[in-house]
Amino acid sequence: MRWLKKYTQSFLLGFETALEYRANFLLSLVSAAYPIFIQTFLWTAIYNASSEGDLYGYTFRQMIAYTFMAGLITRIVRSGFEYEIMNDVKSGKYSKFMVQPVGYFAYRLASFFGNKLPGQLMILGILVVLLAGLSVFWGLTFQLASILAFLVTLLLAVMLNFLIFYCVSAISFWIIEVGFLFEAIRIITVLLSGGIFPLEVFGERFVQVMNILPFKYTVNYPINVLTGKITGAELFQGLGIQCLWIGLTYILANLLWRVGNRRYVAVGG
Amino acid sequence: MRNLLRELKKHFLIYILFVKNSIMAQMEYRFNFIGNLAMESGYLLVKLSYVMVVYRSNVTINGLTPDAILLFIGTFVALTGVYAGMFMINMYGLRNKIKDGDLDIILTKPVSVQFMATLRQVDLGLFSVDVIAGAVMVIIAWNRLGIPVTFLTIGGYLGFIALSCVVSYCLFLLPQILSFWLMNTSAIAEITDSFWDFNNMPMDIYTNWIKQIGVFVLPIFVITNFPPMFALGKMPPAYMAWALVLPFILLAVVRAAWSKGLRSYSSASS
Repeated sequence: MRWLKKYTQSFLLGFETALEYRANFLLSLVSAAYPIFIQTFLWTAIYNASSEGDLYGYTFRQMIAYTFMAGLITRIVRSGFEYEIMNDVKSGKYSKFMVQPVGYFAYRLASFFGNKLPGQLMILGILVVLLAGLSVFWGLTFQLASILAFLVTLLLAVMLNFLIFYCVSAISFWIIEVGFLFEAIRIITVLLSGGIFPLEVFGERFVQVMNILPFKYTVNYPINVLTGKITGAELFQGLGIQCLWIGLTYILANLLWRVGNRRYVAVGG
Repeated sequence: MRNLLRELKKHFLIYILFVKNSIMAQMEYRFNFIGNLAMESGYLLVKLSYVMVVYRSNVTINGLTPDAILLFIGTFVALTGVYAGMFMINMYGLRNKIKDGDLDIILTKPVSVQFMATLRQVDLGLFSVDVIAGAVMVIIAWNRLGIPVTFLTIGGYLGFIALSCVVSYCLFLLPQILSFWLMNTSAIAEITDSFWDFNNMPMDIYTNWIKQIGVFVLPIFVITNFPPMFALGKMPPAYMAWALVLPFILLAVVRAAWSKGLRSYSSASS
């Protein structure tokens, strides 16, 4: 188990870094609250003006609950390490990982989870308060089985999003200054994952396409599991698709990084 | 008066040079430029998702039809181009200039320090994507709403757009001026920046007290709500008067704050 020790250290290092920049994290939570605020008012105005109680398969309360949960879960699964990879490749720091007995993928994964853990725990705490509030004041019920299933899907969602962005970060081998492109990809994946609006809002055909792609399984699917919209066979089918995409993106990441490594020239090293 | 006009002309000509230099610099790093376009297009897609929600829901919100809401969102998108491409990029740089003492070199130039420090860079990528997309949305909405194309409507709308540019410049520069006294204002900037997105939808979706705060106390709603309100003939006289007075008040406040801040500047890195 000695090999595990170095990755445990990477995890702890990431954890300590996150604690050091805790004020930054809290402020980012404040700015994350704005879209939730705007969307809540938008949906309130739309439901007030609509003669129907149900829109896109959501009651008003379900829609507001979705808006809050989407804002929080998008934060939980969010990556961010792709910029570090870009800098490693650009500055030549990546070279040291080629000569040291450390797997870059395992190092990044351990560091990512360590870095995310304090923030994720805090957001999960907020989510618990939110669920309690929705349950007490709005009478929305959350089954224990759904909550447990949600935690499993959430863990897989974090892993899937990590792998998607690990694939994306391989672009750094081809394009030196790729930060803007990362941001473009990030914002589009947030939209496609249902992190802004429920996917049903964009029509049935759009949902059918999203059912096949991996993005939905990072935000929209865990929320629907938590709210009990997805249960039984559909829940297990979703879990299967999540695992399948994790496997496929892992293979793709390996391929991309293998080709990328051949292009690496250690510019700043 | 003649001196003022001469100064304005001089600064206008210098601004043209700033734009030219910025474009040349951006063309040198072409992939950065393309990446910038991609990023802004991503953000634009998110703004368009709001348009889609409004049209698919097909409801009239406080007297605003989906077409009218498109006019508001189009105006917001176009002004986002102005804000991001002309102001934000300079304001981000300002705090570093103050922190690192890079303002020294600007102090020696025979032009207004505030002008040079806050308007020198223009990002054509950010500017063009949003301004073009916003203009297309406004034209579509204008046409669908059947708003007459007269000198008064077009001139009035563009006049309010110009006032909105002044208000956004002042409103978002004010927090950055704090950099003269505080070493790190990035947190404040992040929060105030997010305020811009409150204009994503017409202010009519908010409650009355939020609207009044957004118009009179922290006048963020003035920026993108007033031009379409004027075009739709929904502008109360009180708002009209406020829109004409506010830019001058803000310019005076910003000027006073800048002068005070500049006196506190101590060329930190030297």
